[in-house]
Amino acid sequence: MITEIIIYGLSLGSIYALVALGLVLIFRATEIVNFAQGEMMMVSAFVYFSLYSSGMGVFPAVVLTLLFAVVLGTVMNQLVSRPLIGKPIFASIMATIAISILFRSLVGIIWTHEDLYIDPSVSMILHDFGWFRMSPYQGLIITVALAMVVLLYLFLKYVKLGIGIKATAENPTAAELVGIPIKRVYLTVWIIASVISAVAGILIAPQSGLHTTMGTRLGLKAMPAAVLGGFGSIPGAIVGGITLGILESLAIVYLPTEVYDVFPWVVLILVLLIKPDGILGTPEVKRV
Amino acid sequence: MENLKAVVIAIILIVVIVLLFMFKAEEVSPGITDTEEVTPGVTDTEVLIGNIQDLSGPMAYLGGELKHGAELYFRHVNESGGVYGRKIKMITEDHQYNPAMSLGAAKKLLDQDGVFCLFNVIGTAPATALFDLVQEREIPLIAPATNASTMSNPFKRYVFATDTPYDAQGRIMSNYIVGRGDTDIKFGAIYQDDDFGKDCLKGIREGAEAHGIEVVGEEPFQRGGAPEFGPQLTSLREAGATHIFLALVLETVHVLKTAEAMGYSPQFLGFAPASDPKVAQAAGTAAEGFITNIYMVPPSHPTHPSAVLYRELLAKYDPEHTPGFYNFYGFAGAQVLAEGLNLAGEDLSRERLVSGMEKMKDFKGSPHPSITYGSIDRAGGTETILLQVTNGAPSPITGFVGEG
Repeated sequence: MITEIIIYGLSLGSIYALVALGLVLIFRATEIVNFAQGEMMMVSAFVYFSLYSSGMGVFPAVVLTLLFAVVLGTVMNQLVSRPLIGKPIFASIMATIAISILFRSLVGIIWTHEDLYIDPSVSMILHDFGWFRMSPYQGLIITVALAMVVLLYLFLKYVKLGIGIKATAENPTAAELVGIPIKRVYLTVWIIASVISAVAGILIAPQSGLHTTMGTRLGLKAMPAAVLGGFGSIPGAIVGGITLGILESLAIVYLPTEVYDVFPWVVLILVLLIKPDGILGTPEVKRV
Repeated sequence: MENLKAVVIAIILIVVIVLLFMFKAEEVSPGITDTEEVTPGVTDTEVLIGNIQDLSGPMAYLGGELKHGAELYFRHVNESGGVYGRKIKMITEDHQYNPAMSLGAAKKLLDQDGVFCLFNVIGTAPATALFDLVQEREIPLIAPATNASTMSNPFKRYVFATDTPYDAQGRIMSNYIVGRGDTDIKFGAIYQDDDFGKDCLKGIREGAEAHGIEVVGEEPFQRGGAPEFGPQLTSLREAGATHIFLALVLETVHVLKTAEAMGYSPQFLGFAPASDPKVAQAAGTAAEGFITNIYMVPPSHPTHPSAVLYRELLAKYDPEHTPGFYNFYGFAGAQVLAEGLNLAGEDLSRERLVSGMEKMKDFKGSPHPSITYGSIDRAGGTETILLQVTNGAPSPITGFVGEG
């Protein structure tokens, strides 16, 4: 049984990890804490729902949704991120919270405030693999999440623009001085974050259903996932998201019903007490 | 010195403001008391009632439907000459499903609009927020739009519930399970961790206790929690649950689908909100055999007088509007209120509406099971219709059944 529970946690945690990844990426490059990350996922999930329901097939619907995510990322960069760069962190928090509320209302007006359901394109039936049981759907979520992480890693390590992102994250002024086009870096980061969120939205929609608040639920879990892994660390976001998902699933089964909901938060506090920079975070040293 | 001057000015300002408020409160208060001579909201030609809905919050869709349905019936009453010649006029305020805003809306309706009574406040928490206000100011609140047992229990003189409460629904479904001959029963429950879910859970526990059935697992779910029911279901399966009650609304779909994927097939039972055909439709094959219940006849009922009248009026006044359960639910509440106004007599006051409602015995003029109120009975309906999903749609397997 325990392996089954862990796999539930793993697939849920993969989704947390994807949303957290977007969050961390934006924070690293722009120092903006994007409270609308979950909502960006939600908007893309609704777009996918409409495209898929029109009967165009899964593949074209996914491609068009990802294109939409590119546009959404660009718009967020131009209208939200640009004016906020270099401003106090509170300004970015308030602005992105406002955007998240705006997105929820807009989606409610354009689509509906009610729950919508979408069929999974792969089977959700659990298959027996001897010592564990897993559905093709869970397998897909975990594989896609893993693939996104590997792609992102390769991009940051080997592609020039990706290296530019890392450089900008380290020191934007120096990066600009050595000729890195930091405006293009910011734009790229927002587009990547938006696309990753869209992937998470498409993956989770058959399981969670579509609702204007689905992004808030997941976005709020991505925050502690990012913190758990060390806010600002990309591998940390993955480790944090998956840890949170597994802890949550185990807590539901093995802890009394009264306490299981707070359990992941207790772990979060403990981790922060012992290692304030998160599991994979590195202590930030400020030179005076 | 500068500081002292500022402090003095501030104190004077505060005193002036406080005095202004006291003066204003004194001015308003005579209007609030309900004297026998002048009943607010009632003239020879009109009775003004206050309706509070969710028009822009999470249940905005339902709120709009309820309002529309109630207006449909009032329009019919008014065009047939009204109640004792008085036309029913309804003013609707929006509470966005927020209890604090519900209270504000009620005060606005009473103090500014001067309504006679309150009608059909949607939601358990927003309706509960009004209990103290209606008790203190002796305002009847008719047909709050919720199945919560707390509307009628404990007794509140001014609150008249119409729907068979959730706890009774749980007990009636338990009776049904035992009555149809299921053996080796072990109950499990997944419930929404709020007033609604806990009310259902109370009924499940009481139903189990009445038949000596063990409840092997109770799993709370928070709207806003993880959208994953695998762990809860695994836990219930390990505990050996054979019958699982789902005190959820739309999440019911996810639970049914997850259980199907796991190859786990206990008898699932749901409460009134899950009887929406959309739930069965969305869950597809996973919903086959799912038992729910409903506290009034559906708008599509072929012969029930209320359902027939509803469809006629909708076709006459608003043929564009799609018939629907919640639209009919607003209509149903309006039928109960209109009957109460009728029983209250020509010389209308708030106290006479209360005694008029108390005179209602075995009333069958609404889609609810027969409604009876008494001097200490505010429960309205006590029976429910059980439904079971077959071929993708919930269909009735009983008529109205009570706990007896």
